[in-house]
Amino acid sequence: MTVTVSARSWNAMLARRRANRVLNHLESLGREWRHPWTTIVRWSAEARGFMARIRPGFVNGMDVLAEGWQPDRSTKEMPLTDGPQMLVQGWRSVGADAESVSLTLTEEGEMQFGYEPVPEFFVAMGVAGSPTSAPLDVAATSRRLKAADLVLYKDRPGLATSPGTDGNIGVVAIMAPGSKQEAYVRIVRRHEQDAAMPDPLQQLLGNWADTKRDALHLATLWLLSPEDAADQIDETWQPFVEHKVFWNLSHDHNRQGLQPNVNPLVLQTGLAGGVGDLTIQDILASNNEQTQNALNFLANERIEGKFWSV
Amino acid sequence: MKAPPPLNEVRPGDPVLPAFNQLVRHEKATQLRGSPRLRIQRRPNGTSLVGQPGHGVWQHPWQPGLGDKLVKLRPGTVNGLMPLIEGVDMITSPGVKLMTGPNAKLRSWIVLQVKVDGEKLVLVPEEIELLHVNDLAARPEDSGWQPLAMLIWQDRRTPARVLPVAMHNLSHAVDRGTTGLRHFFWAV
Repeated sequence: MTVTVSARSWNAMLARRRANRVLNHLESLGREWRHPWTTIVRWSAEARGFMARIRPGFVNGMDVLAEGWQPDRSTKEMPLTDGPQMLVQGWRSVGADAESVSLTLTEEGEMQFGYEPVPEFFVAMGVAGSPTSAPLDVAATSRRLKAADLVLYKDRPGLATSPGTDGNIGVVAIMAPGSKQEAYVRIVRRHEQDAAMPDPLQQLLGNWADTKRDALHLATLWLLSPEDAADQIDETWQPFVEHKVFWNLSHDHNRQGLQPNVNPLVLQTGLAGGVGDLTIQDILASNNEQTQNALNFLANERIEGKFWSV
Repeated sequence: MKAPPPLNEVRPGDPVLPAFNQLVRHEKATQLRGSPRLRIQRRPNGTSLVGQPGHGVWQHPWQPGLGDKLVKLRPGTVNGLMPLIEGVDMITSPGVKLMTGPNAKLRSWIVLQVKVDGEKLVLVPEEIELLHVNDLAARPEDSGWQPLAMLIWQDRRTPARVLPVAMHNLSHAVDRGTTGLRHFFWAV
């Protein structure tokens, strides 16, 4: 079948397209209040990547450090008050091309992979759900989603154990090598929460060290692709920021005012045969008084820190 | 970003298919992009541009303003009590004078200093003060400090800007620790 379109109607359609096209938009640059940690992500033609800039936030009234990108492609640690721009590298995929984040065994004995959920906001924008989600409309599955996490860290002492003689355990509070007095932010591919409680077996076997810093998830940075985009991230991707912290912070830990141990405390376990002879059954046995005493001692000595807003 | 291909008009008798392909190429090359204050919401039935205007200036407790060798703060409270500046309440006081310069990193702070009654551990109202300091580690043992604002100096004589640290009225409590009193401040 031959279809004829008149040149007049075709040109009229083009004229409408031109007239309706949005050429640019102008923003009113009035003073705007932005909370501490407000993060703006923009494409940098120079760095060929997305840069994050954070409105300064403070921890204990002190500057917070960030690794600012330099034109020679190196990074330099500087305070947020100096306006560093951080190059966002190592985006993770969320949605149809995501990697699994967990693995569980069902009652039927089948392995089931878990995936990071796609926020509803992005599902409505046309991002496909995770591989286990119900299939979406074909037209709504063509956009890709990437994410990275902005995390605040504050170094503090952490507990460590080392095997001693006669079944005793050396317990020491130490700072990590190169630890900083100031808090610092990093952009990581995925922020993982530290385990709430350490593994008791590892603690009692010695050569164990607890985490020596506290972490707070400040924001998730999202990148949304245009339709039918390749996996390569470029300036056509649209950034979004999901903030999780809005105020300046204080931080403290339960060993404040005490210096890290120079000489380790010695935990008299009374466990015959030495720590090296411990078995999992020994550790987990509820009627093993010595083991329970040792774990209680370690739990009471454990160093924990907290952030709170001011 | 590359310029989109031209959108040429056609004449009677021109074939439709090349013009259609040209239109498709043009459409693909002219996608809208958002910005921090403009969201592009694309859905199968159309696209919305959503503007996000600024929210103005939020005037919060302890909001600092820099004057001539002086920092004026909006009133704030700790446990419902308003601090003094050189013995004068902070509403009528002209502000905290910058009597000392910055530290080696060109920083200094306006801090809230409190002292507590030795037995009841409650705040002493006449000992709640605002001070200008350049070393947060120099806190007297009998006092608690909460930084309220940070000053960034251009050089050792010229303050350049002041940034808020505390943005809420505060609560305060004391813990009698093994190494002395520990003061805690938090937002209310």
